[in-house]
Amino acid sequence: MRPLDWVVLVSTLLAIVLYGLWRARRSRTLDAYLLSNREKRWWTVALSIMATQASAITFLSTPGQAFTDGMRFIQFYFGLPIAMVVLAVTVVPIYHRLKVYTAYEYLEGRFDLKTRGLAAFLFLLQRGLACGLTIYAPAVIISIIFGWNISWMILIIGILVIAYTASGGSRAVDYTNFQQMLVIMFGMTVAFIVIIMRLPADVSFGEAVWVAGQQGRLNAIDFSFDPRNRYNIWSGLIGGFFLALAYFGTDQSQVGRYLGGKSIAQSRMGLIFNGLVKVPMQFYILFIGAMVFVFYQFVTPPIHFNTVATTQLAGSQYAGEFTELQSAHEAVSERKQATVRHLLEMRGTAGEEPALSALRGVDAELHEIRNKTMTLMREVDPKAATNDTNFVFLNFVLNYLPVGLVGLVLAAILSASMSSTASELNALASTSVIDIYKRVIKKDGSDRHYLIFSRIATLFWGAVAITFAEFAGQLGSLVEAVNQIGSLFYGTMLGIFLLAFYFKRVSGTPAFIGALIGEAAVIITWRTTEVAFLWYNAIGCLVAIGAALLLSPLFPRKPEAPATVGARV
Amino acid sequence: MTEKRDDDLDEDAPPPFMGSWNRLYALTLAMLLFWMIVFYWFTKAFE
Repeated sequence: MRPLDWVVLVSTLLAIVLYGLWRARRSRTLDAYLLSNREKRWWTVALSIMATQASAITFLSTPGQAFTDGMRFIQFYFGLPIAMVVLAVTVVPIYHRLKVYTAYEYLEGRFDLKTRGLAAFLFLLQRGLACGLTIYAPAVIISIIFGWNISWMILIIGILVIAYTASGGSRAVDYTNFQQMLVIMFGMTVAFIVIIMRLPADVSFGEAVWVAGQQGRLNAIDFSFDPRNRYNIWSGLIGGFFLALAYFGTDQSQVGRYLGGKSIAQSRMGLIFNGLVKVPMQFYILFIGAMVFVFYQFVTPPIHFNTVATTQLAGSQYAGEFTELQSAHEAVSERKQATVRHLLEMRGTAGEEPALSALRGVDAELHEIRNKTMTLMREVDPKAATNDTNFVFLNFVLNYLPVGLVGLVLAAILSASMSSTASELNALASTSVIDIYKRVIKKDGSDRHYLIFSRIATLFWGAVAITFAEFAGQLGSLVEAVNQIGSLFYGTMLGIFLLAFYFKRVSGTPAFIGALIGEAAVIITWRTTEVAFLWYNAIGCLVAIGAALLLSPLFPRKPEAPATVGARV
Repeated sequence: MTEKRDDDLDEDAPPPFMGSWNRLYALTLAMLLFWMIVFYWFTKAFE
């Protein structure tokens, strides 16, 4: 990082934080603090929703995913537009009409306190832990690549986010999310333009796309049905639909974004805009990764993108073997570049197939060299990050972007981290105050009292997130488990909400027991099968609904008490 | 606390574009179908 990059990075982040603080200076009521006074226009709702979903790891991992595995990850998002339409039609009017602060508040009016409590507890548990990982995951990658101290990085990012979230609440979160999303898209566009400009002058854009396709990097659609296959069109449409329905319909970090819409129309439009834009946006980010792949067809890539691990290897007892591997890697890479150029010359002729076959042979050689390198890396440090997918894009940015733009792209990535974390903290505070403190502990406080407690709750969850992030590196497989927690609980949560919305005969007790059975089904599936995680959402949801419907005749619903649904407590 | 005005809770209030919600929903689903066809072509054309 050169001085200009630092100036761009620090000034961008500070400007966004100060802008958020300034816009939120009038957050003096609970409504303003938790729901932006319910006066947001649709574009603020839309960009805030998008910025909340797009964490930093999205922008670090997604291009790397296309680089190593192609573009089939795009299918993960196919269920999202359908879910946006379903939510806009059914859920948005219900939440608005009942004037709830949180999604879980609705459940007490519809079912009972224990069902509301279960949903709020599942949310606080899952999101409370995941919030720490939202800070930790990008911090660990950036700190490895730049050699920065990870503890300080987590602390600085955490404190910046807490400062504007605790001070300004939802209004600060939404306005900073808006700005952060603009920085993110600008940063990614600049990166894309630089990648295209860095391609050899004699290789056209069409040829670059063709090269990516010939090497399996444009495999966007896969029709094969295999429940163990994470990304195909079926898991994307069905599993992705259930996941998006659960995430946007029941996770307070998203519900809070559109609950603050000025009207039903503004909230609906925010969701629909996300449904229109999300798929092409993710395609664009994946396409950047595919173009980075093409770039490295004409330039020798590092033997492994985790250059810190390779530097460590070069200083170890295996230095000699590593030097030999590096020499072989450079020689084979140069041969590969010549083979790719030959393939382009042979395009559309009888020589295309033999040239492609030769390219596959050279690729296999490179693959073997890489595998040997990773084996040595594990010999030196068994915990070394040998999966370098997350390092590909940042490595490119650092080595090939002009001065100033490195700082801009890094600002975009850190903005993504901050926007997701801020929404999560705001949602955790809302749920703690509305569903726990105000409902169970102190029912008769003043608006000012709850406002102060909301700020304290934000500080508390911020401290939890920073602490968890600081120790995440020592938690090993627990981190992986926490990463899966979202998928483990979303299906059940969705089951509870769908029962509430669409099955009017079902009362609280069967819904509660059904949720527990649904959760057990998900955990059994997770522990005993190889079913891909996207399916957990559908399994948990359908089992919870099925069990509740079977139990429903045993617990008939009492006649509805008037004006209790969604009533404030 | 800001009370919601009735027009803010009007489910029939039209969207900012397209004139009706049903048209907007249809556009969203049609765009998904469009992208899926484009990606299918993309996959087949360059494999």
